Amino acid sequence: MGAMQGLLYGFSMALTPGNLFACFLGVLIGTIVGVLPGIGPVGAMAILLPVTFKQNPVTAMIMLAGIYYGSQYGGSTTSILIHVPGEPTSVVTIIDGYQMTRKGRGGAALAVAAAGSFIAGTMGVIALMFFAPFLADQAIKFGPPEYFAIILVSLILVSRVGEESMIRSLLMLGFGIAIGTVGMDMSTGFPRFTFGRIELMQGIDMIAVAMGLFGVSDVLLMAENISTIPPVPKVKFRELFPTKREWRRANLPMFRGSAIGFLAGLIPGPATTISTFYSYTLEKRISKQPDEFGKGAIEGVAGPEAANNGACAGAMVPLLALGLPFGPAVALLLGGLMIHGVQPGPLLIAEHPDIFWGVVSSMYVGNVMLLVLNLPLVGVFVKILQIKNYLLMPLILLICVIGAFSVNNSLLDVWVLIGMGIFGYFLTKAGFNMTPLILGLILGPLMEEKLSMSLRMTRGNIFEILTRPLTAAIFVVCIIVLIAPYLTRVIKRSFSAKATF
Amino acid sequence: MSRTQRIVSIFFLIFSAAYLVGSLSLPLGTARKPGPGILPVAIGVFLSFTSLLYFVKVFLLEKISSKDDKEKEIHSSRNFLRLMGLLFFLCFYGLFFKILGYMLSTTIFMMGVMPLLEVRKWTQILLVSILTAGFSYYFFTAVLQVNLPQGIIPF
Repeated sequence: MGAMQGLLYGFSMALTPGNLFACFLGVLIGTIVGVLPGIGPVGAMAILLPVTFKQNPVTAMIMLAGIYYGSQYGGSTTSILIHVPGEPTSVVTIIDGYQMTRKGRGGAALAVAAAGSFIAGTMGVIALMFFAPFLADQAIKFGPPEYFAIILVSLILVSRVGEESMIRSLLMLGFGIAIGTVGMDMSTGFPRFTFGRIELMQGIDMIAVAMGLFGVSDVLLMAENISTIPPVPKVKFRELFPTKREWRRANLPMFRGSAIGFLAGLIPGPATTISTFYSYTLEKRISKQPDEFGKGAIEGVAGPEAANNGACAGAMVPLLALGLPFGPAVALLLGGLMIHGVQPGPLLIAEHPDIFWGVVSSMYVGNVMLLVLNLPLVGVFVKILQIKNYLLMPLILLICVIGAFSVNNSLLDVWVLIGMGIFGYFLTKAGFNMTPLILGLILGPLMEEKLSMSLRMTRGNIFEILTRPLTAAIFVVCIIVLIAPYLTRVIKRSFSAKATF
Repeated sequence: MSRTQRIVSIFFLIFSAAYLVGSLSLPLGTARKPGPGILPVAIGVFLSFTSLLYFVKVFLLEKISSKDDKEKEIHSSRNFLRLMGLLFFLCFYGLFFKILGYMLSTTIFMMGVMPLLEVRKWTQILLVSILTAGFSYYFFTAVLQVNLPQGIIPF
């Protein structure tokens, strides 16, 4: 199926009333979750995943994807207006966005953030539409050794990128893989760490773990400090229009941010967050007015906000083309696919074109909905910040418990939820990042399966795995990425030493 | 390094040791036909090594900083009580969810949690608790068609 043919097929599904409503619900929940500090898209997706059980896979994926990219729009609202990041991906937007609000240009900042998100979302979906099928076609030629290499390298890079302490990341990764081994071994059917309990034969449910780590622990952290939200400045509709000069300055950063974000999404790690830092650094470096950064430079809003949305689309490429999630949110999308009996991988696009093209087409529609929701209705979303904590926090806990219970009708999942919530609370206080844990939990069993198949293929000769051309290339790239920062430092030091001489 | 980091490092050390011991009892198989114990043993060794490194870093290489404690630890006994209260009611909810049923356990949960979140009026607590339990029950069962436990009340 060609791209245009696929897109039309996708629209024929995305524009049905049921799927349109699912898309709208997803982007609305995503925006709300993005606006509310404390609960993020991963928590919301984990909480709503069990709710999608009764839906068909296309509708479920459209809604969950809507939450994912919708939250990137919402996160900028509080960053710009009240100096509070709705999401980690909007932290950078505070630097110049809030300064623009202090100068009375908050409306313009919101408009540029929304426009940048829309442009990046649309460009990202176009790139996804062409790149993912191409990658999937190539990936059909991958064997178990190549998959093993990609997964192992992804897990290593996730621990390396965007985390100051590699030891903490590696600990989380190892812990995630360890709890993923609980249950029946897929290759041999041997029960591992089940302690004789039948409920543990299926393993520890990823949904309960994700809801605990991202939902329950967020509420426990919020409970520590029930602070009142500072008063939110009112933004009138006419203030939403940037000046011609502001549009001119914001244009190119939006396109650059879109490209940076999309490329960052292809790499394992917290792409939506890292891409905003890359974009901001780039815009400041190439700007003709670098001194304005930190004081209300519109490029500092346009670039990062475009980048985080571009990263959402980029992250969908390895998920849909290879069946490999490189971040926690797309890991939950993978979970959604598996729950609905859809086998992710390079054959997904060929065997389930309805899912791929339905989601891609819905992303076009969703981006338009988000532009409408986030500009004229920004005042409505800002009012959401006034929701009382005594309603919001228990409600999140309730939904988490119901969600965990409804997965297998088992109380064990509820206890996993509570346990992981408490664990996640302490881990966050100790400065740990949850991403490597979730990825280890999801990708660990897959990596083990591919390793087992590879060893059977090569009759136990692990070196034969390492010397296959593509596998070797993947490991070489991994080594380069790992040592590049150190090499750069050494080169810089030797250059500055020579300069001093 | 904060006290929380020390507690977490001890947890990881104990967990990784227990996991490694458990994984050694699994059949390893051969290189040609790997058994169910291969990855657990590898991860057990990896986790033990990493948790030991983290333990050394936290306990021996860096001292507890009182500034870290102020920034990262729970600030006041009031917040601590709120947190403990939330955990208590969450555990209560998990224990009695199936026995009492959704409606009753949710109502009790809300009535316990709201005072912790600084709601003082009992009429407000009662009304919000019953309405939340009722509306959420309808939403989950009728709209989302999720099966919820009935318990001692027949709905």
